Amino acid sequence: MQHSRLKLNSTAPDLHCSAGVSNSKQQTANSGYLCIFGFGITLAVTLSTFVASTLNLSANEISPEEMIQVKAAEAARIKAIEKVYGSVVAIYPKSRQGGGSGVIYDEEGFALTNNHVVRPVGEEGLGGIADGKLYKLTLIGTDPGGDVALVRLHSKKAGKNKGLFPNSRLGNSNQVRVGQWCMAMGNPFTLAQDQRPTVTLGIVSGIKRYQKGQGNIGVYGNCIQLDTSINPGNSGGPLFNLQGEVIGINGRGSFEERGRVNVGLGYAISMEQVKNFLPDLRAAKICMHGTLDAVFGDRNGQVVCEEINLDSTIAKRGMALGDRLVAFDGHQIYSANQYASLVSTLPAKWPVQVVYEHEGQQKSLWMRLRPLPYGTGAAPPKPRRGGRPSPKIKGKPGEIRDAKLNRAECGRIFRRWTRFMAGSDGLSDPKVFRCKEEVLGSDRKKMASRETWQATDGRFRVKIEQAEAGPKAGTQWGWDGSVYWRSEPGVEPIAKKDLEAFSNTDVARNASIAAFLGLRPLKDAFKEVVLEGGDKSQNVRADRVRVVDAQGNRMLFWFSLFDENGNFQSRLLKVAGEKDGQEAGPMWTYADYRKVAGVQVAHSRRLVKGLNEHTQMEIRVTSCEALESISEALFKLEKAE
Amino acid sequence: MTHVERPLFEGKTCPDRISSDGKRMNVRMPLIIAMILGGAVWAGLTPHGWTVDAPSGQTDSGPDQKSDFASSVFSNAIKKAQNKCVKIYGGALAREHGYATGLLVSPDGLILTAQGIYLAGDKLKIVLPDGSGHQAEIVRIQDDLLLGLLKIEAKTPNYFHIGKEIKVRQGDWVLAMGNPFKVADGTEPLSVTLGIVSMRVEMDAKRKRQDIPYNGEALILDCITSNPGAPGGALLTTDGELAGMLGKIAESKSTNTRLNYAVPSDLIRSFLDQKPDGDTETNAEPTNRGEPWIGLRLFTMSGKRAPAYIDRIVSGSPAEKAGLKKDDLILSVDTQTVRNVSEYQKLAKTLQPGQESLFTVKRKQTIVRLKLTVQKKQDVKND
Repeated sequence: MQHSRLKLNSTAPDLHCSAGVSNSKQQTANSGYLCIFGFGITLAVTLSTFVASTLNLSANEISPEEMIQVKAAEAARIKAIEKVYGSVVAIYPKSRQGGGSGVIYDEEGFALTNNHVVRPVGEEGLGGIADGKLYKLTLIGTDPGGDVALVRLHSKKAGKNKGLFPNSRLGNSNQVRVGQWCMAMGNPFTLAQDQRPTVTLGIVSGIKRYQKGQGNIGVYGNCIQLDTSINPGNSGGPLFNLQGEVIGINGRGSFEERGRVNVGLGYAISMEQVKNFLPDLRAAKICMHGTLDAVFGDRNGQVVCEEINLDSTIAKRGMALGDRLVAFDGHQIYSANQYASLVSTLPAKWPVQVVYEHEGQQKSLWMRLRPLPYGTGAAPPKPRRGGRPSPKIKGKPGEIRDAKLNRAECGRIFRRWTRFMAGSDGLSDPKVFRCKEEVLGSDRKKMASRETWQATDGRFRVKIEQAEAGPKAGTQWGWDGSVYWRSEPGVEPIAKKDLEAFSNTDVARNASIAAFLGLRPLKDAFKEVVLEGGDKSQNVRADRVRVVDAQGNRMLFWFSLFDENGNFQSRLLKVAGEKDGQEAGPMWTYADYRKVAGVQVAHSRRLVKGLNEHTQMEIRVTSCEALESISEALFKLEKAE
Repeated sequence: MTHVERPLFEGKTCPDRISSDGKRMNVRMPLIIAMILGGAVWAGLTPHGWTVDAPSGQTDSGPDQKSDFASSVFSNAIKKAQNKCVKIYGGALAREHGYATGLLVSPDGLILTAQGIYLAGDKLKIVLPDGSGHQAEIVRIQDDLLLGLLKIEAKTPNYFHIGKEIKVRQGDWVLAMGNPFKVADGTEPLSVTLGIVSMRVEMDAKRKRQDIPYNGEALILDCITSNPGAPGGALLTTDGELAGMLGKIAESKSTNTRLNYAVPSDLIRSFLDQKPDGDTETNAEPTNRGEPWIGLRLFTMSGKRAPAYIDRIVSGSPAEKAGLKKDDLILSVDTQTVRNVSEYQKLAKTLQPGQESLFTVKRKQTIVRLKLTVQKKQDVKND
């Protein structure tokens, strides 16, 4: 945000904040971070366990049957801990001075931790897990604003587990309730000499808490407050529910009065925020947070715009000082703190809906959040007196810091997409599906019905059977792998070859999708593949991948991160053309995947418009079958009779 | 979830756990249910699967309750109590924090809290659970248990019903609800921590001026509650009933450690019942008749554990009227045995004005029984 913003009380630009506007004005007690870099102190700590206390019940009040059940519950807890124990990482810099914690969520060694843990570690460090070994650890991406970082552990040799790491499942922090049990694991006071994590148990003390950061760095919005004992060294470690799912990343505690030890108030970054930033982190970016370029305050029970950047998208689209914020990103807004908390969990460029009241009129708009500048705060912390300076982490905020890492991640997305589409082995031979489809208009009225043949290698043929609107009945078009053709009754057929054919978006799209399926080598298919970062499509989080194919077509692909059960799954959500970094040309969403002959076929494709993906047209598959054999002639232009 | 409707265990109740509405109940039940269900869920025994990635567009109200019964044992207790606690803001001084928590104890705006610097300032602001702010007046304070009773001009339909019975005992699970470090603001719910009652004990730490000036029984907690803002918060049973009030921060200057304690609810009840005279607006219940006045002083030079010898009798006092004399050794009051000075002082506080008590004293070699009618403290001052 630049200098042109206005304060409500004075018209003079506020120079103090020229480095950037913050999303919040909240005044709450600040909490401290939980890493122990720069402290050479190791404390001997006696950890009393809850288990001991729970069983300290007089025998005359618990029957033997109850005791059996209590012990069974305890055994189940122990089992749950054992399940995730190996996924907790102790993170050290190469110097082995100080350290933090982390959690592996992927068998390939990807682990989440805090930004303030990786800052002193730099791009390479060490990660120890419960097997007692130290592994090489590299930085992938980091989010200074939300204090999250992504690192990867590297296994030197394919051991008994083929070099795969134990990992924990990422849970859903929207389901976290105040009062529920939660376990923290990590390496408090770098206690563990054998790298085995410390486990502490407690309850969730509060949800949707806000802990302000240093400027725009290290802001904890909508975070989880816990009474589970966490201490310096626990930073970056996981907060588990009793099912062993990661619901948060522990990072801070209230250390106001009594030094840096647990006082019963710890804070964990919510897993929902982490998931919002996961695509940006995996894209090897220094993540940036989003902002509306406006600051809101509470006035007479309303949330009112108190500062606004006049150059901002939202100001240009009509919001002005004094306007009331009604809803943001699908949440009714009832306090300025709630808004500040919400927006701090969203990345830059995230699409949001803003509902506001301007001069008594309610308005709604969709926009992408603008990046919130870090100012000088993103620089590595100054070393303490006598300490060594923090290692440099290359890359600028908002940029991809390592193109190689990014490309590798794209490969991982495509492999997952292939696995989703056709099982882990992919397709060895192309398949052809014959589908009956109907075309629905934006008013949900049937416009046409058609018959299509689609091959998984990208070849296709469409035949309009009956039409109320659009192309006439009998019209056909297709692509045979090199020639795009179209024939219409009473019109001279068109045929275009290769490069020209690819300028047709249907052709380019189908060819690209086929490439992802592994039927064409990616290297041949694409000149450039980049994971741009996080986005939303069909109301779920998505990886946004930019592709430039061999013919120079620029396209954007959106892939899901998770399936409906929270397992990692890359399914194609949306395809669009790309121009100047933005969506261009027709935009199609894919949904309602169903398996036909072992391959997932999207039974609903919608032509959509705008950030809210307003449907213009839908093509619904009414029946679909795989053909036994493929005739080459099927996709070729029929010779005029 | 089906478990909610039916109890898991039958017939196992503790006779000393009688709830305020007279139902027999077992306070350990929720704990056991919590532990077992926690286990059952891990073991995959629950009938319903866990929905992990809820459909997006989920509202702020959070997930549906049924998904987490194991935790809902605490969640329900917490929900029950959240709208009976208030945030208190007042004056601050140096390291003393100007904020605390309070408990609603009546439908007409009476708020109980712990004593602190925030009560000393000119302005005392109460933020109710609905986020509304109110000015409060101090009704009275009690120096032994460090209690303060405040009043706001607002109706408070949700309040804690505090009974005379002892709610928690050693080893019981408790939830501590308060606003440590001002983490919660406006309508935001207070923080909750889980712990157990370590013991109920007579706290007599008034040895030096710096130490804790608390004088009475307290619940010592295995739960970190000695944080700024937490005093005056609620100590809850796992049923969400009030077991006590979180005490003022107690820190040892020599060891720099803190004691986590709460004022037991039964003592709070006694404090609330001692309604001072002159409050004619409310129709006084028979028990609410001010602080008791007996009018005798014990010989305390040998400490609180010394036998309860009478040192002085105030002239015109109930003690004089009853015929008590200097050097009498108090053996019992009504049915309660008095072993020492401390026990008498505790007992005397619980006597109700207007009540006739039987004092048994040893006078030289004889046992004397005397009837004494307790008076209100206010009567003296008015004379």
